[in-house]
Amino acid sequence: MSKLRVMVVDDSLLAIRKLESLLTELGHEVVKTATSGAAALEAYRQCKPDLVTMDITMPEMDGIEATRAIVAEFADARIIVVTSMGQEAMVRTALKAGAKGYVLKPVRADKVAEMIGKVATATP
Amino acid sequence: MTTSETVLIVDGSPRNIEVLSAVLKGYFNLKVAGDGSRALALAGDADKPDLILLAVAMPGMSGHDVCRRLKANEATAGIPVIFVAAGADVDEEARGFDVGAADYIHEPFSPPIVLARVCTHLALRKARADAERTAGESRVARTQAARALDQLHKTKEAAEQSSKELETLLENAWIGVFIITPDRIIRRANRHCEEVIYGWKRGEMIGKRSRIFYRSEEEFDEFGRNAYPHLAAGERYLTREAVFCRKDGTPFLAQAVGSLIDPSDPSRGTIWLVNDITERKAAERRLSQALAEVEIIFQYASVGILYVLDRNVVRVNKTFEAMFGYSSAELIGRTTRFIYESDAAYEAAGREAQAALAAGASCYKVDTTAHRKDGSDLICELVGSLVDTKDPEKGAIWLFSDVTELRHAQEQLRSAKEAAERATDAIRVKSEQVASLLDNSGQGFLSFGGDLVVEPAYSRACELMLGRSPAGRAADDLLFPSDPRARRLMRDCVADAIGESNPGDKSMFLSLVPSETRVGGRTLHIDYIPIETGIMVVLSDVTDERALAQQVARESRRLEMIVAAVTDGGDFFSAIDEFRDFIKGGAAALQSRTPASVYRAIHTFKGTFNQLGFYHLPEELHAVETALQAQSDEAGGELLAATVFAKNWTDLLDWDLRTVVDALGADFLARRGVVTLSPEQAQRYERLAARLLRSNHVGEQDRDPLAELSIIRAVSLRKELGYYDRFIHRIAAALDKDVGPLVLEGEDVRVNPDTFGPLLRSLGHVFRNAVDHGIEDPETRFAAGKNEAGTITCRISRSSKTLRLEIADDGGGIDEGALRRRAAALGVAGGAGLTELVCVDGLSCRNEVTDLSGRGVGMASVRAAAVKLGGDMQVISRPGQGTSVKFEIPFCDDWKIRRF
Repeated sequence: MSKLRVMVVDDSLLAIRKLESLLTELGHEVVKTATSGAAALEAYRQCKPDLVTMDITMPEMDGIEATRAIVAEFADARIIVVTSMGQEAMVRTALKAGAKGYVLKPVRADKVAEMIGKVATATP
Repeated sequence: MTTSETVLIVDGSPRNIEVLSAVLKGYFNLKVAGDGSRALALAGDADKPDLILLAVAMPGMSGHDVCRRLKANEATAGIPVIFVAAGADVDEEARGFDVGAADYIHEPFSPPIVLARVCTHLALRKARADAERTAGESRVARTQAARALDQLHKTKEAAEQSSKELETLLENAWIGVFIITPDRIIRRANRHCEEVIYGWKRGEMIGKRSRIFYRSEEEFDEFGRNAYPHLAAGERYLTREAVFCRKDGTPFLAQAVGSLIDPSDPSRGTIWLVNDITERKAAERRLSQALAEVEIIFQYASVGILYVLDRNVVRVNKTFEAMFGYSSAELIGRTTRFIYESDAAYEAAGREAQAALAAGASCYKVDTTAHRKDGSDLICELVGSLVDTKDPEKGAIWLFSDVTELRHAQEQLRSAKEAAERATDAIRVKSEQVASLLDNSGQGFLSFGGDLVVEPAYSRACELMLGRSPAGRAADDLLFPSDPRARRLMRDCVADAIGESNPGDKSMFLSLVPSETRVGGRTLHIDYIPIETGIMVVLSDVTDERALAQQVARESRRLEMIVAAVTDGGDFFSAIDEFRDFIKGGAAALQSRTPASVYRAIHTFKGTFNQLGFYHLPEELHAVETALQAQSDEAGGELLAATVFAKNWTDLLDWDLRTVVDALGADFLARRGVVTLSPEQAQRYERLAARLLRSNHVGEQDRDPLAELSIIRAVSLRKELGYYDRFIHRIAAALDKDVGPLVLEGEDVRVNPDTFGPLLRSLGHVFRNAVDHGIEDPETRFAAGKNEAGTITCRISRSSKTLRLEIADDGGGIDEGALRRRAAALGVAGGAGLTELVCVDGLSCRNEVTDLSGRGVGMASVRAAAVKLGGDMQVISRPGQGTSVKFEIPFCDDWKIRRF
């Protein structure tokens, strides 16, 4: 797969660091990070990434709201939500809000690679 | 209409003449005049026209002048004149009617209207002529009646004598008779006149002015002005269509004949005969209208109409001409041979039709292939009927419907239906093939729509896997019979998937539904595939695969157990010995013990065997623990003991030990190259050595070996604690936490396994709590600025009288407030200090009991072990920094603790 410009949204710096190294290993480039849903929209406008990984549980504006806001402005935004096992109901809400895919924690490289493959090849 | 009628078209515009001719051609004989004088000449001919279409505006003589002159001439006055005007102008139209026009047609011409108007007026004219003829006949009769009256008058005297007869005659006549005076006062009237015609009561009108017969004073006067000059001259006055008025005000049309009773003496008054002709007039109007309508229907009917007499065309309508491609009137007089392809076909058709009609059929219907003028074919439905069934000589009417397209469509429909049937057959065969393929694939296939009700078509393997026929049942109940959360998730995700149109999005939602389930002892893997009508589910029985995977897990666990047996030999065997002790006494031995102590013992055994990698025992002990927990506190010792000994623990232990024995041989310890003693032997040697040391018969050179021998079974505390390193990492992995290597600080001491064993084994609770409750998840630690990996440190120190052991973690500390709230909620007495609090039985911050943690009895058993050694335990929490569990155990010679 070609190299994607990725934006990582997560309120945990550790999670951001983990995803960053994982995405880099998969051959992608993390061009922007944001630590809240509120900051995500502005960051998206600035860098227009090929892909976003979006944590769902965040203070201020959660990942679902942020997804909704980004998709409202950029209909073809490709957003993958990241959440814990057992949070399938939240994933449903996020998909309905416009997310294109999801990854359940603990985040593993093979799962992320598979979901990126699905989302990146799906026609918007 | 027959072609015997002639229409004269008068117009200054050759274009108009051309248009009107085209409309009327074929229906009428046409004459044309370009100006007024020519029109008058043609109208005056012996062969005068039956109707004139007259342009209003013409060079020279205007249409109005022409009309006026036509009406003034008795010979042409009866010809209806229809004005043709360029536009609608009400005044001009009124003038036209003044000069005697019958009707108006405005440009641009609508052919059906032109034709209808012409037909109507011709029909009217004919009807009028008929009516005049009838009227003429009655006139004769009335004249005779009048003569009779004259006669009566002349023989007045005689008549008066026989007046009764006359009265009777008058009274019963079906004609109104009345007599008025010269000043128009009604003097007499017969019953028909009074009651039937004018609607008055008998005798009521006598003495009234005859004004009562009219609608207005003006009409009354006008009638008088018209009639009296004639009457005065001794003539009869006849009016054919006078309007009179009944008593109730309704007007009616009447014929009236009046004459002076005595021409020589007008003062005797006038006698009038009156006849109501309203009905007759209405009938005439209806007739002419009906004729016009029939004609229009004939010409513009959607079927072709052919009137034949002896197989010769007499009349034909426009639709027929259009259908067969002939021009107007071209067919009149020809035989109907032109319809058929060959003489033979013509003859055959004729014979069949004749036979059918002659046999008395009211109509004869047949499909036939007919020929157009241009030679092309058309399929016609023919319906023939005799004009007069009693007289075939009067000819037949044939109706032609072009059914070429209909028949083609029917043919196409029929072959399409056949094709559809063939396709349906093919699909049926195909789906049977697919069904048998699916039935034999070993996988279960079923499908459902938004309601999750499984469709009747499913593969047979489903019944085997689900234990029953799935058809008509809810898929969520079938697949997750004991998991309400999965059922709910499935219902939601299926609804979402069906609501999506993009296949990728559908699959995304479906991927959230659990892909594995246990149904009736089988493990099923589930694939969800979106299909057009809903969702298809493919079931694979992975029971064996999962069993295999479990076996692999068991195998690795087995290795772990073997390693534990090899490396932690001492612990391994003392744990087994303790357990053997516990079960040795059987149920009877347990009855005297308190439920809490039995429960704690089971709990500790579970933890120990878990740590040592035993496979069956921890699981079975967990089950017993759960069963005990379910029992009420009042449950007696018998029930308790029965619950514990519902299982054959000796068999279970041997089962687990077989793993070790199989791998290492029954004497595996011996194969390590170590001389092993049985615990009894060792204990005997220890006692012997101790006794020898206390005696005075031991040389100085023997004291050290004897001292060593006296604590031969003593174990290294560092080493014992070090065994927990693997334990904490196994728990950390299960909890997704990161913990660094166990840190051991301070001097080592050797301890007597007999006395120290229970405490050492109970420390599992402390380590487990440190990992589960103490050390935070990596994200939290990272956010708090800590190293992602937590650290657990064991510190050993001793003074002359006391052994101190501290197990500390660098986690978040204990939320004492939360623990106290929980204690209050559970109604258990919270201890005074933190140590007492964490030792309250049944208190745990976990909501879920797992193999690893959550019973809330652990710390109590640890403290109990310390107390048994005469020491105590203390729990210290530093919020955000960690928890520390400290033990102080009195130092006693009996325990053979010494510097190593």
